[in-house]
Amino acid sequence: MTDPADLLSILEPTRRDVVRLLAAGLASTGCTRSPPELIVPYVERPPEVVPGVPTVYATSLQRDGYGVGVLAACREGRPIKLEGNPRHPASLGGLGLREQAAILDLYGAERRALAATDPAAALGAAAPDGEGLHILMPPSASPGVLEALQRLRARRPRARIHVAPCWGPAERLEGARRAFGAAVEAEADLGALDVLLTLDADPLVEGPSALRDARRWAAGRGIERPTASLARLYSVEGSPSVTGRLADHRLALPDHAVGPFAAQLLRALDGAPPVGPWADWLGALARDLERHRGRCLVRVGARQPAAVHVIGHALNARLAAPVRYAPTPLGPTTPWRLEPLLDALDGGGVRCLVVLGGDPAHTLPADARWSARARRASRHVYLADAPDPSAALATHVVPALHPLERWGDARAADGTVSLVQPVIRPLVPGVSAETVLSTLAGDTRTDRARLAARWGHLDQALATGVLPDTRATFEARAVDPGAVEAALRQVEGPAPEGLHLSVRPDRRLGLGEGAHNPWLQELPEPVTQVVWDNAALIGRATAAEAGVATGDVVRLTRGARSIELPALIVPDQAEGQLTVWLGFGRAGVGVDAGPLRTLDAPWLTGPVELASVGRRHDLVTTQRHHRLGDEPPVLHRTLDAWRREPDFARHHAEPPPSILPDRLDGETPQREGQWGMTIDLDKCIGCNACVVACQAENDIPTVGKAMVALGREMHWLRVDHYRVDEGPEAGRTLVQPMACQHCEKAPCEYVCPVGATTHSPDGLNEMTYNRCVGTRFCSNNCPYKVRRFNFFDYRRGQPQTLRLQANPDVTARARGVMEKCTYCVQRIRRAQIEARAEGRPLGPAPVQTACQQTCPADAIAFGRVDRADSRVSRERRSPRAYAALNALGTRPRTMYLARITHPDPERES
Amino acid sequence: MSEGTPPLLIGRWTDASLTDALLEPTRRRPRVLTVLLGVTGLGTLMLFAAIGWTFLAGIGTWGNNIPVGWGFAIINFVWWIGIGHAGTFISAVLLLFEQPWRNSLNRLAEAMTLFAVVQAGLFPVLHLGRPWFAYWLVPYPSTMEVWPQFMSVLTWDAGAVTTYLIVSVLFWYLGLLPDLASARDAATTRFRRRAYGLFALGWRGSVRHWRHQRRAQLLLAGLATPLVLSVHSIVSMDFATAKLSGWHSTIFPPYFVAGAIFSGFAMVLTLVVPLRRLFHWERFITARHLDLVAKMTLAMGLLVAYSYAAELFVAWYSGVPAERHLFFDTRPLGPYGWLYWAQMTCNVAAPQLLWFRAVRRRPWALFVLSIVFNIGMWLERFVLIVTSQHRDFLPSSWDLYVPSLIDGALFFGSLSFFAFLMLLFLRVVPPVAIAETKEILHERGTDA
Repeated sequence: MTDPADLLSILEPTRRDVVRLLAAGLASTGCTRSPPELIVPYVERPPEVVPGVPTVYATSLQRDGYGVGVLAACREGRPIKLEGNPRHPASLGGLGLREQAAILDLYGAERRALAATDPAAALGAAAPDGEGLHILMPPSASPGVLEALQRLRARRPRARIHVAPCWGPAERLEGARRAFGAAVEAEADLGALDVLLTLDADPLVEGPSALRDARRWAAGRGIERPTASLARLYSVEGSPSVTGRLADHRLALPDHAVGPFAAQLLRALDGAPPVGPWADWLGALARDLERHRGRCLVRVGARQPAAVHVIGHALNARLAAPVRYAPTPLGPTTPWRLEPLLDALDGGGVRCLVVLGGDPAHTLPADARWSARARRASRHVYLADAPDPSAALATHVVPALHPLERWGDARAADGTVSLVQPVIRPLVPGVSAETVLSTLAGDTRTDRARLAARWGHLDQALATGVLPDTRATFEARAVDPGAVEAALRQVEGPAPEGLHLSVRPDRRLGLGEGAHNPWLQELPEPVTQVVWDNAALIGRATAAEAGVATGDVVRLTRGARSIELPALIVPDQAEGQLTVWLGFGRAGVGVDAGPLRTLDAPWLTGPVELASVGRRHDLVTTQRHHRLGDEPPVLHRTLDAWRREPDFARHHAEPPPSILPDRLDGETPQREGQWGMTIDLDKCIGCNACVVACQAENDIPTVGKAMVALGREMHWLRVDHYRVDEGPEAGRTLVQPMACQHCEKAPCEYVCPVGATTHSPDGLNEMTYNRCVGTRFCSNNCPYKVRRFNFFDYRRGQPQTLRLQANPDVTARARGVMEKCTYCVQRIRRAQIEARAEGRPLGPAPVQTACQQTCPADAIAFGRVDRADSRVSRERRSPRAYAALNALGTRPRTMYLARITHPDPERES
Repeated sequence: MSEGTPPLLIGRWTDASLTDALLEPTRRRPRVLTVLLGVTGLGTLMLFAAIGWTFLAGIGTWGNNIPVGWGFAIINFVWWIGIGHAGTFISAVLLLFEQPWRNSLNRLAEAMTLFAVVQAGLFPVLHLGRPWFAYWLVPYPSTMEVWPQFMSVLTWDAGAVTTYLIVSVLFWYLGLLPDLASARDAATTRFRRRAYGLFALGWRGSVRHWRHQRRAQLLLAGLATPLVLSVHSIVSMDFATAKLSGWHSTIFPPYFVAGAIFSGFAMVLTLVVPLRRLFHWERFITARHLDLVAKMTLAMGLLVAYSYAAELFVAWYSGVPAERHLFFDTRPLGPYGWLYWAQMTCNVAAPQLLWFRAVRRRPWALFVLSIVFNIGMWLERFVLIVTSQHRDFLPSSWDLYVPSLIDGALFFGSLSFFAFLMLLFLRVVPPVAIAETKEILHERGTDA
């Protein structure tokens, strides 16, 4: 086998190149660079590869260093789609938006700019005892990495390992250490709660267990009868979060005030009367929590200081919360500190600096002065995902392998071990972090050999992706009362005045890992719907006071440092707080907030000055903001209102009378399988993972900021946001995922002059792309505006490697052609073909659409509406079921289940 | 003709002197028209450059987006095709109703129709995502046995516009035959004699020729008259058959026809007033002609105003929130509100000036008003097409439409192309129908 880089010559493929690539995919079960492996030409087709049939491998991705099990679908040697591994406890079959987008990173063009470097040569200068060897790494829960670290420490005892605290959940683990004496992970079933309180936390989308927590939370919702019980969610936070948007009661407090609030809540539970501006709110909350003792839970966000985490643990203990603890799998051992490394760099004692990714030049606070200090190391080896700013500082840049290209393992927060196996030969000549550490430890075995040595016989585990019986034992732990007292003293005090800046990793880009991923850049931010930018989030009153409007560029100054970025007025933002997402300022998009951060307070960075600089910057959102006179087109009720009016949804579900014949009445020939979808808005958390999943499955191009500004984004599926202006639910934001509704009386179909959009016998609204001439009448006449038009040839000029990700089952669309959601017709047809080939009938729900499959909350059901026993049929009969814009008589096949909120009746009165 | 009204032909004429006077524009070429021809020729080049760029790069060069799938192209299409209608109305409908005042106007009006339909026909093809497949809208016997989708009004639209173009060309050419023969007979150079002779198809003015020509013209007038109603009715159904608020309306066919004739008469005035002055046609396009055209414009303007009122009433009376929101919020108060009020000023307020005889008798006042009306009618299509789309049922998809430079180049390019064709027409064809003006002369002769 030749150099894997040659694989990229697929860009101008000859017949030989194609065969070579196919063979590379075939060889994917053993992808280390040596020994060379057997190439099997396709004339003798290997038994496990059938052209046109995906091969699915179980592997793992990292989520904040913890493992998430994924299934990688490969077509003819190319991985094209990632799905959650249902057997993996941190996935349960769902994936978040970043895991969905990870497939594109594999094919990213910028990786190819990294030249091959021999890691052994680069690391060869390290002293035998490790003197002067410093390693900076992101925290990792991979047993392989941690084992390599141990070996390294044994081999070179003077080597020093460092972790930047802001690269991991340092405060959370430190809080646990103080409260319980050990860095532990907490686990609770969010679906079995009566009350959940989040303190600056976003548990449904953030953290290693968010996918599982979202699934469990949603399992507790979606009730069928108004008499059933329903959890109540309280959120206290400075900037609206995905979870906070769902809260029945939300209190906007600056992030720095969340700690004092928690402290007061703890005291209130012990009988102290609450004081201050939030006293009534807090009093009612305390009573509600007390009422549901044993069935309520408090979650504290990872960015809050350790002391607030301690108080959170104390609150859970005080409320007898159903939460259990187990030691964290994350390493290296806490506490993590960066200062020793910086001091060593200043002292000139760093002979060999090894940085295992993380882009410190961009992600460390400005007072780390990384760019200046890193140059003091005589040798600087950087394991690079991309040619990022940190790579420019290194003397030796070693390309990193993508998780889909390497062997390894990973642990989930609950301890479960999952395996990482390559599904394609490396597209760049890189190595893994484990290899780098093992090389330093003198271990020359391959990652795979080590994996086999560590876990023994791998075949079964590789098939399922999960090692059995590796889950940690979770047990109850007692909180140290002394630690709580100390935390209370630390947190309580006079509230700071003025305007405060709070920074947070972007929900799409993280600290910058996703900056090169166009899917993530073009994905609407799940709360504000901004694309290709970050902004200073600011509350209405604060903005009015400062005379700032959305899009005005403001200068934020803290001491001698300042940044300039556009302001974005967010209605639910706490007054007195500015929030800026990190991860931007790389790849020429957005502004890096790093200059305002400091090592001692990387997230809550304290008072800042705000000044308008008199410039404008176009912030582009996929949904514009409008004031609505009427009810938003999303159906919702409080639980009490539902009880008073049990059939509130009925006239939104029954089709209005029509003089035209009904398609379902047998006018058109029926085919087995009438497809339909339901989306339970009581389960949907609005995380946008479905949007990325749809993009990955259906080859949806990105169009760039300028095109989105013109209203030409191509997403087939979008998540609409509506803010209720009036009534008892005023201030609530509702979300409604919106894709083609597959109307039985589709307004798009009868207006197409060439019959390019028609109805299939199984009830799909189909697009025949190569018949479309592009009149756009169908889109004009679509009341849901879910059709997307190829105004340009958007794939032109994109790196050709990205095309390797394309799903061969999905038809390519030319310029000038309309496209839209197909209900993943390629998956339906595959299921039908398989059923026919096997001579068995189709089940009630034989297909999962891409959006449904990835949905962490399991909010989407898809299946046959002609089978009464399918979930989709059952949900269509729900008293909460309604059709969007039902009065238009379009009879959509997609139906929604109304959102049910559960405000505290005590507050209502 | 009642007492006291000004005549349709002024002065003492013989057939020969009339022919001579009316052929004058094809011989004497005012410098200003030559300059204008050059300018509009450049504008035409701009049009074709913009078309080429659109073909190469795609519709993305325009301002269209989702939700506003139809923008300038469809606005221009409806506007141009509407302008065409007055020509057919003057030449066919007024022929059937034996209105002799049409005789000296019909040639110019028909040419206007023809060239306007040419402009109109450009846009629906250009606006397609894949214009090279425009022929798929035509029901041709494809070997794949794929037909257009006949439920779609766009299929009918393609047929209606094509029919209209063909009938307009035939009708215009048929009326032109005797005059081409006159031009041939009066030609001063060999080339001109040959050229006019070729197109005159051997017309010698025999009674049989006249009989056949008159009969064919009558038949075509009979065909063209329903087209005046049907073409714009079908165009209106491009919108009326849609579900969109502001489009979904049963009043559209008559409303569109009235609007079309209104704008067409306005365009007749825009063309006739300066040409009449330039070529000294005051004696055969008299003040009475202008007065009658102005009255027709006023009548059509009142119909348009009534349509607006009816739309508003129905929107209110329907009680449908989306309708009410569009008509009482989005249109008057939305981001394009200023265009809506400009439209109302141009199309409802301004025509009321035509109640005054003093205005109707002042050619330059009519000229200014006619331009105001045409701007108003263009704005009407903008408001109708864009505002309905940019804010429809789901507020999440609301967006603005901002036309691009290419949109502007196409619009002003089509204005140039239209003027360019009109100026070419003035150079080669007698712009006032000689034979038909002679009819007035002879009718007056028998009256006397």
